[in-house]
Amino acid sequence: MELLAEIGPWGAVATVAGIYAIFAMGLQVQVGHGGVDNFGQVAFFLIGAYASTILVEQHGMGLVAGTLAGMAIAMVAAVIVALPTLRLRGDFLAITTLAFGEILRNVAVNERGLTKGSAGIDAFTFRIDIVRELRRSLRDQDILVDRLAPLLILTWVLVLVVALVTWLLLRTPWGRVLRAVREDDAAVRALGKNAFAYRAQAMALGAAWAALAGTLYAWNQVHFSPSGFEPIVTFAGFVIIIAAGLGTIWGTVLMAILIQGVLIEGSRYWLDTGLPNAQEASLRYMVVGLALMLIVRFRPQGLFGSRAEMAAADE
Amino acid sequence: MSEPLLQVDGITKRFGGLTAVDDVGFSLEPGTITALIGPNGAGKSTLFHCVSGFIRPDGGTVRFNGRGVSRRSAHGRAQLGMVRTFQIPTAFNRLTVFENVELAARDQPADRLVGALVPGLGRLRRSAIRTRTNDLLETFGLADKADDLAGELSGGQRKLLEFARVLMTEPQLLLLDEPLAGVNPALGERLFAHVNRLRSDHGMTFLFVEHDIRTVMDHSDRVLVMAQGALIADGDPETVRRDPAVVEAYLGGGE
Ligand SMILES: Nc1ncnc2c1ncn2[C@@H]1O[C@H](COP(=O)(O)OP(=O)(O)OP(=O)(O)O)[C@@H](O)[C@H]1O
Ligand SMILES: [Mg+2]
Repeated sequence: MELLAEIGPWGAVATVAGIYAIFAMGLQVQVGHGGVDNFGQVAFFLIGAYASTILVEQHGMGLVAGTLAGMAIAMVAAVIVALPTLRLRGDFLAITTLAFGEILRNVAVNERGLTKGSAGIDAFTFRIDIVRELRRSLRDQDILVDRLAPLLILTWVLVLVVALVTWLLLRTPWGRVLRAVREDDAAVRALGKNAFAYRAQAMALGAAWAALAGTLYAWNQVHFSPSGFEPIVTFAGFVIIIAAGLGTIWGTVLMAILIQGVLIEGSRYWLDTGLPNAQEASLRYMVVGLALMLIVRFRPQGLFGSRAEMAAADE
Repeated sequence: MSEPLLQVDGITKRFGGLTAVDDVGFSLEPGTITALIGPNGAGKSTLFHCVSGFIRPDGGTVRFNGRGVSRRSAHGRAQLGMVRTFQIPTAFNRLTVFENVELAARDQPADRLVGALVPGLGRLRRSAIRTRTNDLLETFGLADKADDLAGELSGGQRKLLEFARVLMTEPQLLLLDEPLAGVNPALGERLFAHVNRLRSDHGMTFLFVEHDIRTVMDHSDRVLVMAQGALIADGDPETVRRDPAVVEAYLGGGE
């Protein structure tokens, strides 16, 4: 039997798209529902990747425990960042969180004892121990699996779990108060609810999703370095949630597939420009930028957002 | 005599060189309806901000229900039952009118993150809250707007929505900053009829800012007058109206 025996390049693309779907879901909680303009989401992605890798590869922690630990550390970091910054609004918050991401990246470059600096670090336990063992035991039962298939499947199962949990949680009274905080935080405080706590919780939940995405990124890369955590990662997340529509959950998943998958990762397989690689990469971002501009111009609520909500927000 | 519900002493707030609130003190007895009047810029809203904890005064203390609340956060004071509205009405624009009121209810286990993680928690309470929300929307003539987004409401409707929302918290003391601004007179009468009912049925206490002297005369037991940050008169409506200092503040202000 052949179960995803040959997933080809599109399988690899789909894995990355799934990782970005989880990453962007975190932003959707923070920005879309909490109104917290977190421009440093990549910091939590970095924490997830490095913390889980260091714990698993250097301290012998299990993969699941390492992943959960990475998420927990990211949540604590989110609350610590929230304390001084969440009382800031708009631009100031954006700049502070952006700086936080850059600071962590530089720490990763310089703390060589912990991160091996710009040389990068290996996260091979998943690929070697799990995938190889799995493939061997399945081969004994005459089932062939591509070595990229287990992470592809795991990522997309997690995308569905993360989207479902987020969707359910945002439908509760908690989610409703969180959106009220986004609309008017003084009015929420006047009702006896701690607006600050809601925003901090949104930060922490979003950070947990980013950290989970970071761990999957590490497993997918096997070898990674601080250069994978430039601010562009956060911006890619913003492009996804804005194009999907702020607040949308399932739209975010679809947009991650379209933008990160089909447009950014996948275009080399369907678009043949004949240009050198570097130029083609720039062209990709130009296309994404143009697509975003068109969406914002002609469909400001995003492809899956609600026009009525968009109009009501301006009152 | 009973202990005052609200006891404010020596509240002072400066903005740079301007003393917006200047050593203001007063107390409110439970079950009373008090009006706060004064010319534009007198410091009424700033006093509300200081009492409700939205800005920290430069001096003075606030006691509510016999306990000092000067160091409490705004939401902490609201939890104790001292709830305020805003001069410029606030609404959660991208939530429905129904949700705007519903979410204000206190003791909703699932509006905390931990509670929200437990499926089905507080379901009974939720249905009681829904019923109450419908009643309040009915009272304020917003029932047919229940499913509209709050951002689609007119200015006057927002005032009413905000009033319905703060009532949902079941406060003991309501501080209303110009509750009637932009509300048509007939609805305004209904609003005050409701205020009177809440006072007689639940012993609720009200302090409201209002510019229309007629409304003040008709609906308050007592009137506080501010001018240039200071409290210049305090008494029953008739006495205050005849007070030369008050007449001076209102008529002499334009010189
Ligand atoms: N945040 C602020 N910064 C600087 N000055 C302020 C601030 N808030 C209020 N003021 C000033 O304090 C004074 C009192 O303002 P306040 O809003 O309390 O008046 P008010 O009595 O509520 O007036 P109105 O009837 O027009 O609502 C005004 O002179 C105002 O300009
Ligand atoms: Mg005012």
